Amino acid sequence: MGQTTTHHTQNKVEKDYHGHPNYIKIWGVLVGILVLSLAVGELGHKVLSVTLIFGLALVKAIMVIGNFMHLKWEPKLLTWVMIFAVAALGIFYFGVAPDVVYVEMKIAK
Amino acid sequence: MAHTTQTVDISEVPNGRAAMWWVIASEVVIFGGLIMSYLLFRMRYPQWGEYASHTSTPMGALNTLVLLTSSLTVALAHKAATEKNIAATKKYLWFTILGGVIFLIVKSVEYTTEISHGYTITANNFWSFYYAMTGLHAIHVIAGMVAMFLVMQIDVNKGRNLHRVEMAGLYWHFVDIVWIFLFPLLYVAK
Repeated sequence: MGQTTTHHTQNKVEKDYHGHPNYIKIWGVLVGILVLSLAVGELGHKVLSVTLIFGLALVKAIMVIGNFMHLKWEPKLLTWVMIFAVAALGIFYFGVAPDVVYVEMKIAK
Repeated sequence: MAHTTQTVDISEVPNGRAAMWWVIASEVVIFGGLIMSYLLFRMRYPQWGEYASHTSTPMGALNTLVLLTSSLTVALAHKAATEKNIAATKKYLWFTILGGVIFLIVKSVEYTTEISHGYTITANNFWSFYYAMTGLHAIHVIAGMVAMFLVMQIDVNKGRNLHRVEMAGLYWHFVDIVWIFLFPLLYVAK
């Protein structure tokens, strides 16, 4: 376990149980992924490019959540709260998609 | 310094941090609802790819770099606050606020260019989504900057409640993550 410190607030003492990874190294990897995502945009294969770009965006987001936001040090319940929020979006998308994507609509394009 | 994960009970999570994660989960649904609606319409109307080709990928990439860097500086501010290093905490918070200012300036230049070419919020549904999503995100950037400034003025300057730096940082990282997804959606996927 990394360093453990306490914060004294008005009501109680809070324990800081998560560590501080090498933030600069993580930032370097994130910038590298950004450059890579711009490069795959020039592949010329649209489906492959878009899939890779969104895959790399997901990797960036997970790195930020896990390391900068320290979610990997938090109780699993907090991770499940986030997963539930994202799952709710999936339910919304797949529940509405058949009507929006495949049914002709008289709305502005 | 090596760091390992360990099992932490939910009751050990400080109230402020737990509340901030709850706020972030609700924000995920707010932005996610917009993003999912955009994706649905993008699937329905492939010609939106043509509209997206009028957004500036270099500007979007620059803003992604700015927000990733500001996420680094706010993480360093949190680390400095943990070490009770007030001067370093303030320095990194100011760098983060500066990142927010640069982001907004770049976005303003983009908006000006797009509007001058006739791509206004009423041009078509793509541009309505574009301005709604990036505008809502910009409001969150401003809110994050204000939160960091207030934490600095009210707490950090007086050397108290330094854990609030982490709360402001969590919010800022979320704003960064939203942009990580808006960038490919609106700028890269043509």
